Amino acid sequence: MEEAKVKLVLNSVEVTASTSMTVAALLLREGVPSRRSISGEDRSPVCSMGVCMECRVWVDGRKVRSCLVECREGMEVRTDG
Amino acid sequence: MSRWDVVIVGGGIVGTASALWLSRAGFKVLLLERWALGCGATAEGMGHIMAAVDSPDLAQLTAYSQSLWKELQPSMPADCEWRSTGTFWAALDSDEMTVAESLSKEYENLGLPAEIWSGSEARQHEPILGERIAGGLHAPDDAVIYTTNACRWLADMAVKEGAEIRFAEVSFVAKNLVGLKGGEQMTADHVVVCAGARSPDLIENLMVEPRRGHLVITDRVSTPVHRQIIELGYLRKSHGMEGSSVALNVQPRATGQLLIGSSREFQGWSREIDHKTVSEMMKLTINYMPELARVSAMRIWTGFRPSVPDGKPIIGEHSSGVWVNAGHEGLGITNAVGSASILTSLMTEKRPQITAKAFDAGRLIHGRSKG
Repeated sequence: MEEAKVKLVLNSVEVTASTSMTVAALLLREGVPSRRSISGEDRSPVCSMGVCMECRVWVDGRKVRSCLVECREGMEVRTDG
Repeated sequence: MSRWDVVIVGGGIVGTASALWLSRAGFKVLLLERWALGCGATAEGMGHIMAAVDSPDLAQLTAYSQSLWKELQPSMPADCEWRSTGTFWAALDSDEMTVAESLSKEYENLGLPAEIWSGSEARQHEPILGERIAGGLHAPDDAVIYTTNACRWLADMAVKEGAEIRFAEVSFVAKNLVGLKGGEQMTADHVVVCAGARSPDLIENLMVEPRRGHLVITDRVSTPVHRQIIELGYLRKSHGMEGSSVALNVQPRATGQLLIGSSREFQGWSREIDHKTVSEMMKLTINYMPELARVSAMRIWTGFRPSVPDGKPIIGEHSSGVWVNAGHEGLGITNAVGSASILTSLMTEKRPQITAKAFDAGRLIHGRSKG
């Protein structure tokens, strides 16, 4: 698959990425935790294969496992839930 | 002379509670478990410790069991995650409110607190409930525990009382005898089968069978839920024996997630997820809690309740020296302690704290005409 540069919005900040990256990879590159536990601990992707559920984020208003979603132009990613 | 006073087969919560009570009564107990403590039906359910007040026999047993859990609770380790959630029985219309009124009298007869709430009171206490809720009944004494840790804790206490635990698979039981896979045999004055829906593998014609259920765990929800919320039709549906049924049963977890049940199906031991059933469960849940339409389900799984045709457990001597404590369906966590106490009373020929006749092992045995 051809790789393309895309712009997307991560927590209200515009970032560039590639369509060959998952959103989880983007979070790791940017050093942004994917979620926060009920006791307030930051969490990041662990398994990168859709099992551990630690990489859940909002993508365009839907809660998804970010390791299963590739970056797309205009995507809005939020990590506040 | 037998090596053991009692050999218990099955290390779920019913077996470990039985091991504790029998050890405390002075029996020399060996508990046999084939895989890991609490790895079957114990691990698969919700861990709700509840009074089931609609049938007199189960009402007595659940209320007695609840009182025993309350005695244990102060010494329970934190990892058993005891939470006094209470239960809210939700009504959708005035007919169900009438059911709530009559249930509240049953609670009163058992000496348990319960309070009728109007629709607006219900929404005030549990804002996740939607406009369709006409009200319901709040039973504050019900609680939730983390089942596998509670099971392990009961086993630890039994060991402190002198019980031994061994991991081995049993191939047969007989009067004064237990045979292990591999050929080893051991003698015991009493053998107790606490193997849930697997009990008929050891006792022919025992009428316990697996009744499958689906559970769904959600992502964290933004509106906090405080109580276990169950539809008023649940008890009727759960004690009925129709092929399959779905009833609302929602439990808040300490993590802010919701555990959503419930379904009941006879499908043998097939673990396969039936997405049509899950979809029915979700539609029902959204009918009571509309905002859950926007919440993700994280995992779905199935488990198996040990089910008996008349909806009641089997607690007692099945044949000379061979005892059964099994078939608690969806109330095994609650009733583990009460049934362990009854079993111990029967074995020591003392009068049980509550009448045990309704749970007699002989009532369902093929070819016998008791009850």
